[in-house]
Amino acid sequence: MSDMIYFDNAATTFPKPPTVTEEMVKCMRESCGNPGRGSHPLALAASEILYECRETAAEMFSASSPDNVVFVQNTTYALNLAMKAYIPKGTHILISDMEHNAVLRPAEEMKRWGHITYDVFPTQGGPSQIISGISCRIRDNTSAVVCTLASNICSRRLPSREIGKFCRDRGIIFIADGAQAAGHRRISMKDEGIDVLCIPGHKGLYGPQGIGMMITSVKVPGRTLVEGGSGTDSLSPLMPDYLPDRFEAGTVNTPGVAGLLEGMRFVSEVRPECIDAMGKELWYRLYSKLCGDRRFEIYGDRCPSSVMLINKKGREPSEISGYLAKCGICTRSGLHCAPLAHKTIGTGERGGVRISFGVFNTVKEVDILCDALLRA
Amino acid sequence: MICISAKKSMTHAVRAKRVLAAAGIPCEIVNLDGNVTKKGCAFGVSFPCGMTEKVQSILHRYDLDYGEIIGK
Repeated sequence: MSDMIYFDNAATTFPKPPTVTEEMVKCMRESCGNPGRGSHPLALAASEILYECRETAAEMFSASSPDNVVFVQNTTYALNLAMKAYIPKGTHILISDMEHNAVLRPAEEMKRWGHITYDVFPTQGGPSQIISGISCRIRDNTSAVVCTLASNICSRRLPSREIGKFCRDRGIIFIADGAQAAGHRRISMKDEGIDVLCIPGHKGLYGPQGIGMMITSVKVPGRTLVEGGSGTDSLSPLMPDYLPDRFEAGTVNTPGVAGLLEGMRFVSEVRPECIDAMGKELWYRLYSKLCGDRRFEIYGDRCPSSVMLINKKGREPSEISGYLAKCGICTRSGLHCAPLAHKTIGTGERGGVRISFGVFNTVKEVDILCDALLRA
Repeated sequence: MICISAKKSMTHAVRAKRVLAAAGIPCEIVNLDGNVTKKGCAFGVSFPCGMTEKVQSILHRYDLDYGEIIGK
């Protein structure tokens, strides 16, 4: 796969830093006891890895305590957990028009249960326009705003500070989908007023798949989504009422956590603002080559980021991605599990070709992509 | 004589061990049996009983509940 050019980093980053793999292998070989399930050396070594990762994540995202970092499988699970744990029955919530199905589907499912109602707010325009769109949809029983921090299909980013302040002033919970933002910019739950941050390990944090985090500052214990062994309070038929144990039924993915921890160290070393700048540079390079060519349509806001959505006139997105794949270039076509967002930017029917940059991409690779797109 | 400060979770036990070790207090994470805690499986941090006052003060400073003292 050494000749492959990978531009599907919004789906999962590739390659991973070698140290991520090394730490996972080391964990499997040396310290893969069951964390929190005993005090023998292997169980303690695994528990130490989990704690180190919680502490690193708490610091990276300005969470109030390592206790508040809950390990889950992925962002989708984290969002489901956050929404089903903390959104009270009989209330109303708001989601944005750029949401992934990881937010839309739980919202719709909860609506069908008769648990909640929801409305969608628009994300076009500046922060004041977006806040105005939220404000005019607020009801007396609105309990939460659930939205992405950065779109997974184009360069749109939501004004989290303004949304967080709006929510805090009204006692509304702000649940943020950080799938495309974590690792691409500094996220401070404290400064941005984020109550629950849901993030994956395998995207911008350069960890492995199968591990993610729900970082919460919500004070109430919240309903559990899954119940089972927690390693503590085992005489009780209920899950513990304290974090993180309340939401971590069953054995945590320790090798995954070891990889995630190393991924976060990598991101901290490279620095999110530098990663963001690299993505923007590549975005702009591609944009400057395609924007004057009438055969190409570039969607979304014209501000650089690490994600670009395009289409070529007369060709289906899958044809373009298929052609690129034959040239050894990985991109992703279709709706990217975000039909609501595609509808919002006008690609609701057929989607588009998503090109997403990672820290290991180069200008030369973008030039090769551009040549292939012109031929496609 | 060894004392044990019971902790409600492994996360708290690891944090307690780290802050105590950083203060030069010899300590270890230990398993606590259900019949001791009355709540089922639990964890604690063991330390020399002679250092109880110092341990209490450090755990309080780091917002870690001192918990039940066992094995005194």
